[in-house]
Amino acid sequence: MIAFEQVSKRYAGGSAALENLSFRVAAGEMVFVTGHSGAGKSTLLKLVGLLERPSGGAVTVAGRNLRQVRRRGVAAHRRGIGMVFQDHRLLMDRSVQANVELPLVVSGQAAAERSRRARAALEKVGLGGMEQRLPTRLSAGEQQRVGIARAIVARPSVLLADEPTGNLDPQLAVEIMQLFADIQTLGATVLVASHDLFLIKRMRKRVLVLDHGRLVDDVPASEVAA
Amino acid sequence: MNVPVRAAGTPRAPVRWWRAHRWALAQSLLRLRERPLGTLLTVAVMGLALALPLCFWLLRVNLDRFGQTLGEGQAVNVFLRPAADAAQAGRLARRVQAMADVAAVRLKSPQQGLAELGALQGFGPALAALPDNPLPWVLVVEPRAGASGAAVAALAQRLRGESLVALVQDQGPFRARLDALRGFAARVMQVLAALLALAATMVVAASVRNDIQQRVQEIEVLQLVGAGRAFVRRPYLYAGLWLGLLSGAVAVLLVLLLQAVLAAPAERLNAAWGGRLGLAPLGITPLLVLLAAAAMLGWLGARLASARHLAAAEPV
Repeated sequence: MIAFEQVSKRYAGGSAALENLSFRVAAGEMVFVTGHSGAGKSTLLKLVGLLERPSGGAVTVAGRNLRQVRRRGVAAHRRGIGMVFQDHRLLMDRSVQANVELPLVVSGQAAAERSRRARAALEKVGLGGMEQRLPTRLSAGEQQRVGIARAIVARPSVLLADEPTGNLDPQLAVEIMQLFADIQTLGATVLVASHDLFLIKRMRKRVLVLDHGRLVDDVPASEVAA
Repeated sequence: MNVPVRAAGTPRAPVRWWRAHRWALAQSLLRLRERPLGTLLTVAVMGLALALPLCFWLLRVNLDRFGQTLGEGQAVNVFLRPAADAAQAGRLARRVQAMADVAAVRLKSPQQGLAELGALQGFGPALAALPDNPLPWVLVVEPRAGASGAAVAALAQRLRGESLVALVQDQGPFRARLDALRGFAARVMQVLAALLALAATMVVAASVRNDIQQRVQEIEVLQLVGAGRAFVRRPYLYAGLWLGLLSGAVAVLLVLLLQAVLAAPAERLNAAWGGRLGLAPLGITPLLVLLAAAAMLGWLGARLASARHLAAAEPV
């Protein structure tokens, strides 16, 4: 589903965020990407979501080399990917439902279908009944759940989450991670960047360990100690 | 496997296009409603800027009518040689009548000329003292309606070339001055109208630019969930279109108001000129043209602003 082959990324100024990164993630697999701050976790996810372009090597998603995706094709690529961010990136002046419906609006779904699917996604993340609330009236954990509902509402084949539990208490963090695991069981490929080793060990999924932009370890799920 | 990433249940492109437009249209109206004062100010300023060209247009139409009225009766008098008889004068009158730029030809005999002259105060005794009638046959040639000064001058020149003609009197200099004045006024109005249209476009561009700057986060989120350039831009273009249309409506109302205010003095002016200076009313065609032009200017302003300010937020 996702393949990195000798991928490098250098930002303006010359600093290397990723160097010769190679790995494969199968369709329907859930993988954690971990490493210390600045290891390249976010950059890796940005390359998959085409928020950045690699400086070298090839990133392939669903058999398509992203280098072939021109600027006009970036939007279509992103419509097939759900993204969750640490800072949620919600529109605070829109209702919870309006936020969750956004990907469906962009993909041209009918209003009734949008409403139905948004409600279903909110139910899935445990926010049923909060459709008309403004995000400002929700807790940080609830806001993150809205972000997750928005990411999964269009039923993407790939879900990317960048430090999705960074601001949450441990109990809530576990619940959010369990949500990602549930989404994986529905067939999505899930890539989660996190530096929370306790949480990663608890989830018992495959782990890619980055250090200074290099892949230093690729731990299969079976070898992740709880 | 070479399967493009695609969300499940994505509608076909025409359906997506139609729904995206419907959403953008609703969003654009919501945005205008969300900031009523800003919308009102933009519409008022743009409406005033558009009302002025419409006023100029009305003024020009009425000036043209006024000029034509002043030009009326500026017939070309063609004095034939004393030797010309009635038959020759009649033949020449028919030939002149057939000319394309001639509306009418009136033949005036020497007797009629003498009678007209005698009717003028103080000429009677002097004319009575003459042994015979010294006046020639005269053709009074009326150029066709709306003929320019240059066209009348050309007609007069042609008439001077006739062998029977002794003298041609036309109002060439007066017509030329009138035409030059009208031409100058028309050009000034065109330039001012263009400048005001530019100002109206810039007003909308500034308003849309403001809107974009206040919605940077929304634009970013839309792009993250897969909105393309056209999708992000569309609500701003619709907003520009609405601003233009509303401003056009304001401009039309202002001009109609102005017409109503000027109706009484215009009527007095018309009466003083024997009913020949009736004010031309604002017809439906210029009204529709103004509305369409206003909408287009609004759209153009929004397009300029969005092209510039959304480019910075483009995806990689």
